[in-house]
Amino acid sequence: MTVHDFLLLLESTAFSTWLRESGSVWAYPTVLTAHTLGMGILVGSNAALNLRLLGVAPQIPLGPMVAFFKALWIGAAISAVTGIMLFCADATTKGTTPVFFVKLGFIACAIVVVVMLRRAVYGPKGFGQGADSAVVTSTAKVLAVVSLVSWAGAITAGRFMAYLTPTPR
Amino acid sequence: MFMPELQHFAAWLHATAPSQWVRYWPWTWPICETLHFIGLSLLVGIVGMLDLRLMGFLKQIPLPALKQMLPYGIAGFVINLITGGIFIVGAPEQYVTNLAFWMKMLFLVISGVNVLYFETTHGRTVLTIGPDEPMPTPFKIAGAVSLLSWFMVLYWGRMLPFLGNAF
Repeated sequence: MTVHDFLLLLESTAFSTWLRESGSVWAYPTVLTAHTLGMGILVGSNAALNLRLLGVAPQIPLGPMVAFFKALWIGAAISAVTGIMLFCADATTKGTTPVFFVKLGFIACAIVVVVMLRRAVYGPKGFGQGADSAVVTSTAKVLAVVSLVSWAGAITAGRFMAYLTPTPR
Repeated sequence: MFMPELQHFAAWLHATAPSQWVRYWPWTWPICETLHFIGLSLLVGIVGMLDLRLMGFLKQIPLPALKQMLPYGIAGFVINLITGGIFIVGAPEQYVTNLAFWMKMLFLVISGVNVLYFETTHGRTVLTIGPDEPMPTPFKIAGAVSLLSWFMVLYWGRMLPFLGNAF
């Protein structure tokens, strides 16, 4: 089975066909809207965290701010699930478009940075146990900048997909 | 209702020089869209956190401290106001007769009225509420109205190409 066969298989399932061709407002449009909402929650809460680490709103205590990660992962889950659905609907197109892999590269980088950032600020346990002794090191600041740049890159690549591929917007 | 007038206005705007400038370079649109999505993220992330705090979540974070982040949320809104304005000037015919566009504007107004009312009536008292203190019901309602109306602005904005003829 070649990669193309696999992409074709993803694209030809009943669900993919419905998503792409039904014309229902609950199919492609709603999934795409949920993808954008997930992006807003994910990138927005991430940006709020990064800005705090870079010195904005310094009076926000770092400990309770660990809750921002919940919003971040909820947004990530919505984006990932809807993103996989959107990929399946147009697998042969998206799976062969360079800008799509640029987007995935930025997202992979951004996710790794989120995990590293949490460890850098809240300690190696990474689940809030270190929240009381959270500190902003210079490493955390560098990671915060890389995080902001990665998400901006992912959004840019994602938006340009609509202009560099013949798939719907 | 007002349909011929709106179409007439769109045709006039479409023919103006600024409208032609927006359409002159094909990458203007995707670049503005990218900025629109970045602005959206800043707005949803930062205003959303304040809304959640008003609704009674994130209680250990002091409100005045969280509010220091608001200028970045407002910056996101301003980016979207400018890029959104560019879209309307560049292709007004896509929007003026599009139901999704007017729904988006409706929720934008609801969000604006909500924040103006809240800031003028409770804007000072809300900052005196300390960490872990319970949130009064009107504050919770204002936070929920804000969060939901921004979600609806996003929803109808994303629906523009599907319910109308926008790209």
